[in-house]
Amino acid sequence: MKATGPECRPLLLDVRGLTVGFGEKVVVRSVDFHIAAGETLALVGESGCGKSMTAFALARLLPRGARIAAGQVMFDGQDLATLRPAALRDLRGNRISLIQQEPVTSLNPVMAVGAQIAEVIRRHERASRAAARGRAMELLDLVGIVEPRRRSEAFPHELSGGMRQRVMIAMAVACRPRLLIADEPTTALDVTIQAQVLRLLDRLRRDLGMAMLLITHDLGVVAQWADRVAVMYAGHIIEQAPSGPFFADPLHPYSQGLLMASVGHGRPRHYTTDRLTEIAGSVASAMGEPGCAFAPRCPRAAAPCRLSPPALEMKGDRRLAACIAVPGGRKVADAVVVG
Amino acid sequence: MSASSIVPVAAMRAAPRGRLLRAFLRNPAFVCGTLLLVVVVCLAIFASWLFPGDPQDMVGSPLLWPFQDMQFPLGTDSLGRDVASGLVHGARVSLLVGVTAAAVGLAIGTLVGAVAGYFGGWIDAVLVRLMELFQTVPPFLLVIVIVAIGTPSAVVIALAIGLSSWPMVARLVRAQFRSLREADFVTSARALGYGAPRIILSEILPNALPPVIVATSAMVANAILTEAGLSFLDMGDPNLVSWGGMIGDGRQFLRTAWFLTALSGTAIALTVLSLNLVGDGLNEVLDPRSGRS
Repeated sequence: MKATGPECRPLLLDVRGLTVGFGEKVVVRSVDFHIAAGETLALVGESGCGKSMTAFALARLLPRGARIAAGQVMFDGQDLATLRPAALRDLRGNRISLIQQEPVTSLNPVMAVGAQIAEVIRRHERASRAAARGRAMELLDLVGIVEPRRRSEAFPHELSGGMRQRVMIAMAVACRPRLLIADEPTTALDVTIQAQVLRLLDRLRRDLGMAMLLITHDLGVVAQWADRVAVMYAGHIIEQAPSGPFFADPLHPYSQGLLMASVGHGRPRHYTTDRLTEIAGSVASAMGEPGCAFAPRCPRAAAPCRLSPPALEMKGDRRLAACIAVPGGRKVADAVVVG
Repeated sequence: MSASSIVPVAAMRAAPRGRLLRAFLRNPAFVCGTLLLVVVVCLAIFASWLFPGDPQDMVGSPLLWPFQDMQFPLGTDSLGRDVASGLVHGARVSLLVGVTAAAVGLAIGTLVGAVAGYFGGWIDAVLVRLMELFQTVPPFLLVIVIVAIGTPSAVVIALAIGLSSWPMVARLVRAQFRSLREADFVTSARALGYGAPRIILSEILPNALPPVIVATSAMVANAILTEAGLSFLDMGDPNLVSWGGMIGDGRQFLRTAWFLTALSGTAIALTVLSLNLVGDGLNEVLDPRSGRS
C-alpha cells in the first residue's frame, strides 16, 4: 500500500484550522491535516488528546455540548463544517462512513443485522427491498462472515464482538464511501481478531478505493497499516510524517517518548528483561500553560518553549513538527502543500 | 458514555423467547395475575352470551340476597336488577374504558416524551412545562372537569382519563430517550445518514419500550379506578352499567344489603390487583437488575 506515492493523488479531505470546544473549553485546537484519495492517515495520541473529537467533528457527529468553533472541513469541494444538515445526512453513510470503537453497543439491539445493512442501502440508493437484501448478503460475505444468509437473520447479541465489528464495517462500506473514519476500530477486540479486522479494512480500502482516517493509540497498528501519521497531543497536532520516516526518526520529543514507551520500536527491547521508558507527568500538567503544551513533560524544554505555543512547521521532506527544538523550521504557510 | 443505560435492554434481548416465557411462568404473582385477568376479560367478552338482555332491566323483586333465588345467584339491587349480569356487563365497560384511556395516555405521552427527550433544548423545556402544568392539577379533578364540560359518555370519559394520565408516560419515555440518544447505536445511525424521525421511531423507541410496557398495566388499573370513582359520583355514562355506578347505587343500603357494594367492590379490587400483579411480573422479568440471575 505504500508502493504508490500518495503525493500524486488529489486531495479528498482538507481540514484547516479545525477547533472544537465544549463551550469555553477547547479540546481540539486549530488542527490542520489532509487526506488524499485512497490514502490511510493514522491519527495517534493518548486518551483525551482530542483524536476522537477530531474524527467526530469531521462528520459533525460531536456529542451534545461540543461544537465546531472554527475551521473548515473541505470534502470533495464542500465545507462539511457549514453544510446544510440535510445535505450532510446524504453524505453520511454514503460518501463518508464512520466505524466506532464499541461494536457491542453500536448496532441496534432489536433489529436483525441483515435488515440493518439493507436499510442503509435503501437510505442512500434507489434499491428494491429484495435487491437491498441481496446486497446485504453480498456485503456480509465481503466482510468475511460465513453463512451470510443465516447470519443476516441474527440479532446483534447472537454474534461475537469480532462478527459485530464486521457487520459494522459492512454497513459502513455498503454505499462505497470515499472516506472511512475508523475510531479505534479494534480496541474492543481480542488481539487475534484485531489483526483480522485491520487486514479486512485494508483490503476493503484498496478494493473500494477508499481513503481512511484511522484513529488509534496503538503504534503497532500505525506502523503496519498507515501511509502517514499525525500525532496529537492536548488538542494539537504536533507531528505529521509518512509512517516510514516517522518510525525511523521521530522528530518531536513527544513522538520520541511514545516510541520509546512501546515494545518493538526504536531500540530492540524485551518485554520481560527491559523496562519501558515512560513519559514523565500527565497530559493534565499542560493545563493553563501559555507555551508548548508538552513543555512541562519535555526533556528538551527550554525557556522559550514556555512563552508561546510552537507552530506546526516544515522540518524536512514531507515532515511537519511543532517544536522549536527541532531544526529546519519553515512556516507551513510558506511551504508547498505537502502530500 | 451511556453504555450502562442500554445494558438492561440488551440483556433482555439476550434471553431467547423460550427462556423469557419460562421466567414468566416461574413467577407465581405473574401467573396469578394473568389467570385472574384472563377470567375477567373472558367474562367481559362473553357478557351478552352469559347474560343476554339489558343488565339495566328490572327482572326480579328488589334486594334479593345472593343464593336466595337461584335465578339470580348474586341477588338483585334496589330496582330488582340482576347483580351478576351487572357485574359481567360492568367488566366490559370498565376494561374498555381502562384500555382506551391507557391507549390515549400512551399515545400522547410517548409522542411528547420522545420529542422532548430526543431533541432536548427549548423544545424539551416547553414540553416539560406542559407536563408540569397537567401534573399540578390532580388527575381525578381534571377528569371531572372535562366530563362535566362534555357529555358523560364512555368515549369522553376514556379520553378524559387518557388526557389526565399522559404526563406520567411522557416523563418515563423522555428519561429513556435522554439516555438512549447518546447510545453508540444512535450515533451509528446518525453516522449512516438517518434523520430524526427514523432514529426516533426505529432506533430508540423499540429500545425504550420495556418500562413503558410495564407502566401500561398500572395505567389501565388507574383508569378503571378513576372510571369507578366517576360512576360512584354519578358522573358515569348513565346508559351503561359500571362497577363504580353499582357501588354508588348500593351505598344507601350499606347496612341492610351490604353485598351490593361488596360484590362490585370486590370485582374492582380483583381486576386492579390482577393488573398490578401482571405489571410487577413484567417488571421483574424484563428488568434484569431486579435480581433474576
